[in-house]
Amino acid sequence: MASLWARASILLQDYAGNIAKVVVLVAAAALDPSGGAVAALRTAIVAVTKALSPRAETGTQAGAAGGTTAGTGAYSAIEDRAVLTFRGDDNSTYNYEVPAPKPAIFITGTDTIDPANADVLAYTNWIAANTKGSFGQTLTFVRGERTRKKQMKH
Amino acid sequence: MALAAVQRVIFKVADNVGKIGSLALDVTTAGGDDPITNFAAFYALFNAISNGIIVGQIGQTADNAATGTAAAAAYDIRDKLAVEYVGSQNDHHTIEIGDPDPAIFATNSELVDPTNTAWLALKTAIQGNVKDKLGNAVRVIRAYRQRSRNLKSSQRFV
Repeated sequence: MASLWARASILLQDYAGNIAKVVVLVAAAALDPSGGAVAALRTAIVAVTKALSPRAETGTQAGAAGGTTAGTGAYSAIEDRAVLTFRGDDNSTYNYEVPAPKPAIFITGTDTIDPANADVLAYTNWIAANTKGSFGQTLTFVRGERTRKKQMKH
Repeated sequence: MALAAVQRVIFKVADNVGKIGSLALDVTTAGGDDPITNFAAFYALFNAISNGIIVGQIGQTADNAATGTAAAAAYDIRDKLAVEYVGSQNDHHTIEIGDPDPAIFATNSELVDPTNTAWLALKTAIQGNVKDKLGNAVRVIRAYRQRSRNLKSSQRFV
């Protein structure tokens, strides 16, 4: 079931730089914080306050559209990770983790991601084409390796 | 559209014993304002390299274009306009709007002036745009001045 609402957060900042948030629920489709319901609320709020609004955010959530059965075997726990390192065009570094990586994406006998693996290529190419660094940098895949972290949330 | 440079999607991933992990990606805004929809092609690519399954997703979008101008006031962001409203199931909620313009309050009162134009516009905006958790409209009950201590800048340490 899709969410029946989206969360809108409108940041306020007073003359001295102190900040506070106004958080409300809006219609599920009102995801654009620069228009529609959020902009209308923001305009009305700014009209009754001495503060300015430096930022508005929306957040939403949904169920999954992917596979429905988790794989089994060695290294298929959520703590097992493949860390994919990308370089931004300003030489910044971004690490994206893949939980429970399939053994086939590693070079045989190593903990290094096989960059020529077709599934790895498809994944990293898609990330390079559709995601950005925190400040909008274009990303290029560099390398990947296996790691493990202590994170268990039943 | 003045969306921020990137939007964020956080995926919740489960393994075969139900343990939950997560991964987050910043997606371009080229596809619009719904990062979850924009990431629709991601699931098959993820499933091809991971034994985990995506069980939930959270999308975040921001607009960093400032609106309004901060004006000097006798009070600051700790001074609040508390607006109470009820949802369709008589669920009660209060939002607090910081640093309210003193002009919206009735003379010598902590209650808003019910004829104030800016207040009436806010009331209309809330009743027209805010929803309860069932997605239904809400109804504003009242509004009044309140004071809190929730500073979130370096001043809270002064």
